[in-house]
Amino acid sequence: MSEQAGYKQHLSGQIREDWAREIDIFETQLELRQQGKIEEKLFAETRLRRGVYGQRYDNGQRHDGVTNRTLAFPQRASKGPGTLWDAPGMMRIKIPFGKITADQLDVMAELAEEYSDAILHVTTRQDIQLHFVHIEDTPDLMRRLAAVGITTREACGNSVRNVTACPYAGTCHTESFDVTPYANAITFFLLGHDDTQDFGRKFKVAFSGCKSEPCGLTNFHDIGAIAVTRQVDGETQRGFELYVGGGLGSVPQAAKLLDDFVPEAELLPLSQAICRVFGRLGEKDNRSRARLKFLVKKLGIDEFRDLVQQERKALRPDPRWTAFLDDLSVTDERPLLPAAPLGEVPTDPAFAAWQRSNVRRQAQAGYAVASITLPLGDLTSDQARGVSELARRFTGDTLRATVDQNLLFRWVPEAALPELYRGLEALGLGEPGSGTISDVTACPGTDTCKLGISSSRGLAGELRRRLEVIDGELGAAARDLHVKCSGCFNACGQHHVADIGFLGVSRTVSGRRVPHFQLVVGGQWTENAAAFGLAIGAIPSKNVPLVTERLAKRYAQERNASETFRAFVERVGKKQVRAMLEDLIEVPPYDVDPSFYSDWGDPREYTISDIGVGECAGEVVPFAQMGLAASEREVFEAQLLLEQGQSPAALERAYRAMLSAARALTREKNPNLGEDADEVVREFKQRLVEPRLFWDQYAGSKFSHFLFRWHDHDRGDAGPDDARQAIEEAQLFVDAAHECYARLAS
Amino acid sequence: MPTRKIQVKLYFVASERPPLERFVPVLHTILRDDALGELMIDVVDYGHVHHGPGVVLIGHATDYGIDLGEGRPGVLVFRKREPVTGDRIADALGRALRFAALLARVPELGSALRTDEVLIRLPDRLHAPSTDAGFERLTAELSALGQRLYDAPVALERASSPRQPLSVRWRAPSSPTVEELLARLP
Repeated sequence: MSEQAGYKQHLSGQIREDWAREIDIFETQLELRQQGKIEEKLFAETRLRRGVYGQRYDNGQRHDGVTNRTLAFPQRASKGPGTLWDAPGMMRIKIPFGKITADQLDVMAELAEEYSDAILHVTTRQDIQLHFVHIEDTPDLMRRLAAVGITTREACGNSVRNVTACPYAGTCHTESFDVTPYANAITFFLLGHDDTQDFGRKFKVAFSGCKSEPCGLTNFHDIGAIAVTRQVDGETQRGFELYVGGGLGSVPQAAKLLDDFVPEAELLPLSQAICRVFGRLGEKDNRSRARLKFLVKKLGIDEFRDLVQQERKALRPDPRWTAFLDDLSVTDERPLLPAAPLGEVPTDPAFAAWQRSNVRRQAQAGYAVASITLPLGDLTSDQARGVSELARRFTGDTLRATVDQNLLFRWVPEAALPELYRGLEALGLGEPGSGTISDVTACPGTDTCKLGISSSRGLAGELRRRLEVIDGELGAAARDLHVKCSGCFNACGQHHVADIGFLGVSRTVSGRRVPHFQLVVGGQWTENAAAFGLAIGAIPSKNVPLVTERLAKRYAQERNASETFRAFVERVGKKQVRAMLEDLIEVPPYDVDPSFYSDWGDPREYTISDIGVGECAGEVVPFAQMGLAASEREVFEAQLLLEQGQSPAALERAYRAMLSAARALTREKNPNLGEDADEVVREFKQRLVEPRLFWDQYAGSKFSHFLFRWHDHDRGDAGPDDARQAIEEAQLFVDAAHECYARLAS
Repeated sequence: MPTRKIQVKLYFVASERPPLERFVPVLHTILRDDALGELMIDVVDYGHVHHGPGVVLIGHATDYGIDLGEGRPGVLVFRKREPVTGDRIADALGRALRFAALLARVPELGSALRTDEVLIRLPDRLHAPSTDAGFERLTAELSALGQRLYDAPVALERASSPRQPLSVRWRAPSSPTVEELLARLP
C-alpha cells in the first residue's frame, strides 16, 4: 500500500465520518483486489465510482512510432479488464457546479505536485482531473480532498456524474433565480442514492438560470433543469423547466421537455423517479445504447413521462426532498470587499484587452466576474496557489470552474479589477481571450485518453497559437466564435455545439494511417446549446488550422449584419462550405510531406493501435452485486478487527456484513427499502425467507437465523469467541446470499 | 519515515526559454531506445503553461522533464515511488545527470547545464514538511554529498515557502562537467 498511509491518522477527525469510512473501505478493496478476493470487473466499477479512471497505455501496450511495444509494468493484479495495476491512471475530482474554495484549490495543487505532474486540468464538466496517478496513492489523495469537503465518489462509472451549473449563477443578469442551492441539493441527494446504483451507463445533470444563455448546456444532459418562475395568486413560485434524455456522443440527441414547470419541492423526488425508471428500464447489455437518451427515444417522451409519474407516486417519502428549501442561502457567496465602480479606466492596453474579453458585470452593481483564461484548461500547482491567494484577497474565498475550461472570480469590486489583473499577470494568467475563438476547448484526446483517435489537445494548442495571431483581422463577430475539439466521437470536447467543431477520426492513405478531424459547423452554443452542428467532412489534422482560419475569415468578410455563424452556414449551404475547403481535404503522398502522417504535438508516425477499451461506460454491476461485495469486504474487516483484539467491533462488523447482504437482496423485491436495521430484517424475512427464496436445499432457513439471532443479541459486550462465531456465520450467510442472488437473477 | 519522492533540478546555462518542440522527438527517441534503462511510459507536452513542467518523459518510477518552473529552464528529475537504497539524493542527482548527458548528444537543443546550482525538492508534505526542522534535516543530508561532489562546502538555502514542497537550493563554488560529477557520485 501507499507509503503515505499516515494520512489516515494525520487527518483523523478532520474528515466527515461517513466519507472517512468510505475511503477506508476503498483502501480495503484495493487490498482485497491485490489478494484476488474481488473479481476484476467488480473492482473496476468500484474504483470508477471513486473517480479512479484508466488512462492510455494502461493495458501495457504502446506504439513507439515504429512498432508496438510492451510496457513492462511489474506484474501484479489488474485493476480492471485489460488494465494493469501499476499503470498510471487519471483521478477525476468532482467539483459540484464548479465551485472551488481557496483551501480546496490549495489542496488540489498539493496533490497535483505530489501524486501527479504538477498540472491541474479543468474539464468540460467543471471537474478537475489529475493524470499519471498511481492507484495506491488514491486513498490518501481522497482523504486530503475529503478534509476540505470534496468527495470523488461517483466521479466516473455508471453513476450520477458531477452536477454542473451556470458558473455565473447568483450574479447573472438573465437568470430567473440562483440555481446553486438546487444543484447543491441534488448533488448530495443523488450521491450514493440506492436509486442511482443500477444504471447501465453514466448520468449527467445540469442546471441553468435562464433559457437564453449557453452557460448551463442543459440541452445535452440526461436531466437539464432551467430555472423559471410563475405567478400564482400574486405570489412568485420557483420551479424548473425540466428536460430529459439529451446527450452528445456519436448519436447526439436534444433533450426532450418532460415538464414545463416542476415546482422546487418536486425537483428532487421527480429526479429520483427519473433515475429509478432509468435504472429499471435502461439498456444494460448494449453499452453503446445504454444512455438515458436511447430509453427516452425508444419509449417516446409521453410514455417516459407516464412512467416517471407512476414511479413518483410509488416513492417512499423522504424528508430530504424539501429540507434544503428551509435554507436556500446555504450556498450563497458573500463578497469580501465593498462594491466599487472602476472609475477611471487604466490606459494599459493589455488590461483593456483583458477587461474586454474576460470581465463581465454582475447583476449586483459595482461587482464583476473575471475569467482566467486557462490554456487547454491547464494550470500548474504554483499558479493554483497564486490563484487561491487572489481569491482570498479579492472575492471572499471562492472560484468557479467553467465548462469551457476556465476559472472565474466572482464578486470582484470593479475598482479592484486592475489589481486583480496585475496579480494574474504575475502568475502568467493574464491572457485575454476568454470565450473567444482562440480559447479553444479540448478533451484529453490521445494525450491520455484510452479512446482518443486524434490529438485534440495538440490541435487545440496549435489552433490557439494561430488564432491569437489573426485575432486582429477577424472583427468582433468572428472573434466570438467557439471552437471545440474532441479526440473521438464520444464528444467530450462538446464539438457538436461549437460554431466550428472537430472530432478525431482516422483515414488510410496509400496504406498509411493519417490523423484527421471531422469538421462540424454551425452548432449553437447559446440557448443552452440549442442545436447541433452539421458534419462537413474529414480534414487531415495538419490542415485543420488552415480550415479554421479560412472559415473564420470568410464569416468575418461575408456575414450579413448580425448574422450568427450558424445562420451564415445555413445561408451559404453545407455544399458550398465544403467547396471552400476542398483543396485542404487532400493528403499529400508520404514522400512529399510526411508531416501529414503524424499528429499535432506527437512526432511518432500516426497509428490507431494505441486505442484501448474505454472506461466511460464503466462496468455494469447491479446494486445487489455491489451490496454483496460490500458485505464480503465487511467480513474481511471483521477478521482484521478480531486480529487486532477488538472483539465487540469485529462482531458488530460481522453483523453489519449480514445486514448489508440482506438489504442488497431484499431491495431486489422492494426498491423503497430503507436503511433501518429493524426494517431490513423484517422485510428480508417477509420477502425472502418466508417465501423460501433465501433457502438452502439441505440447511433450509438456517443461515438466515444467523442474522436474526445477532440482530436480537446484545452485541456490545462480545468476547473473542462470540466475534469469531459471528464472523464464521457471516461468511456462511454471505455465501448463501450469493446463492440466493444467483437464483433471483436467473 | 523518509520520503521516496525526490526532485532534482539542474539549470541550463542559457536562461531563455528553450525550443521545447525540439525536445519532444528526442524524448520519444529516448523512450523508444530504452536509453534510460527504466520503464518509461509517454511524453507529455505542457509547453502552453506558463513556467510549467515543460515537456516530460513520464516513467513508472521516475519522470524526466525539461522544466520551465521558476522561469528558469533546466532538467528536472522526479523520483516518484520506488524504494531507494543508499543515498536517495545522489540517486536522483545521478539520474538527472545521465539524462542531461543524453540530451547533450543533440547539440542543437542547447541544453548545456551549469552544475554549480542544484534545486532539491521533496514533494511530500507529510514526511517532509516545508518547515525549519525539515530544512535542517535535509541540509544535513546534502552537506556531505555536496562536499564529496565539489571537494568544497556547498551553500544551502531554503527555497520554499511553507505552502510549497520543501526545497533546498545548493550553490557550489565550481561548475564541474556532467561527466565529472557523475564520476564523483557515490
